[in-house]
Amino acid sequence: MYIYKTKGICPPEIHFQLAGNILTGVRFVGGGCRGNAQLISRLLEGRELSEVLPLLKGIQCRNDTSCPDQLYQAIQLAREGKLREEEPITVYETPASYQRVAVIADVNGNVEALQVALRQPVETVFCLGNLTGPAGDNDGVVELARRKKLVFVQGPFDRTLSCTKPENREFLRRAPLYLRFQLGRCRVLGFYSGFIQELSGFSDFAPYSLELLMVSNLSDYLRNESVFSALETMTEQFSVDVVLFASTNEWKHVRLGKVDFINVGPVKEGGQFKYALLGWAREELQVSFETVKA
Amino acid sequence: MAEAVKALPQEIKDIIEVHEWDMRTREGIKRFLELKAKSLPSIALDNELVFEAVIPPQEDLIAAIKARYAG
Repeated sequence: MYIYKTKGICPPEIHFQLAGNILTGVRFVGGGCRGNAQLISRLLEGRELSEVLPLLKGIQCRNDTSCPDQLYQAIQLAREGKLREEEPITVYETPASYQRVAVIADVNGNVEALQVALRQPVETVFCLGNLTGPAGDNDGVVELARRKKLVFVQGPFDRTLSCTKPENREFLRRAPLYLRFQLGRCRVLGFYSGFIQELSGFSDFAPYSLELLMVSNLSDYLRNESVFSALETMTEQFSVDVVLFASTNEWKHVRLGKVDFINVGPVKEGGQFKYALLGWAREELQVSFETVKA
Repeated sequence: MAEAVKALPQEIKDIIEVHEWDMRTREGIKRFLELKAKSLPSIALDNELVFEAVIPPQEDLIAAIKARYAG
C-alpha cells in the first residue's frame, strides 16, 4: 500500500495500491468530502493507469490542485520509485460469530500456558500477541498454535524473535496486526498495542487507528484516567463496541460511553494461568478475568 | 469548535492566529496532553486552557481573547 501526504487539499493523506498497471484501494482519508471521495474510489477501482491518469491530471479545486490531481501526482511518484510501498497493517476478520470466547496474551513461548488456555470451555481462544518470548520454547508454542489453528495477532516479540524452523517463522510473519470478530451483537477489535503505530505503514487515518491511538497515545493504556472524559467523547467515532488490547501486563475492564475497553495481561502470572472470558448472554456483554491454578 | 472560531468578527480574527488540532492524529493527541486538557472540545489561548468541554458563546470567547490581546 502507498500512503501519500497530500499538499493543498482537504484530505491529509491518500492511500492506494498498484498491482502492475492496475489501481486499487484508493482512499482519501482524514478530511474532505467523503461522499465524492468514495465515489472516486469506486470509479477508479481496478482500472488501468493508462485509462485513469489522463482523467486525474490537472483538475483544479483549490491551491492550484485537487484530490484527483494529488492522486495523479502520487501515482507518478510511486511509478518513479519516489514513493515507497509500505507494509500493510493487516486485519483478520473471523468468518464466524461467537457467544463465548477466551482471550489470552503474552504467552511468551510458554507451551503449558497455551495448552491450559486451549482446554477452557469456550468456542475458541484468541491470542492478542507475543505468542513467542525471549526465554520461551518458541518453536514449541508456534507448532501448537499451528496444530490448533489458533487465531492470534502479532506482538512485538513475534516480529523480532525468530523461531528455528522456517515454517514457524512464516506462520508468525503472516499473522495479522488487528483481529476483528463478532460476539453476539458486539463488534470486537483486538490488538497488541505500543508498536503498531511505529510501523512505516501505519496511518492515523487507517481503519482502527483511532481505536488504537485512543488506547495507547491518549489514555496511556487506560492508566491516565484524567483523559477519560475526552476518550469517552472520541468513542462516538469508534467503529467497534469492544476494544481488546495487550501490552502493559495489566488486567482491566473499563466501560466509557458505549465502548468496553479490556486490557488483557499475560497468560502466566505468578503460579497461575489467567485469561479474559468474554460472553454474550441476555443481550449483554459479559466480561470476567478467570484464573486457573497451575 | 472550529466553526465558533471561524464565526468570530474580522477585527478579532485580525489579532489572533488559530491552530486546530485533530484528535484522531498522533500530533493532535500530543498537543492535547501537552496542554493538560481533559475534555473535548477545548480552546487554549497562549498555551493556557480557557474553555474545556464546551463551545463558548461568542461573546465569552471574544471577551477572553480581548482580555489577552486587545489594546
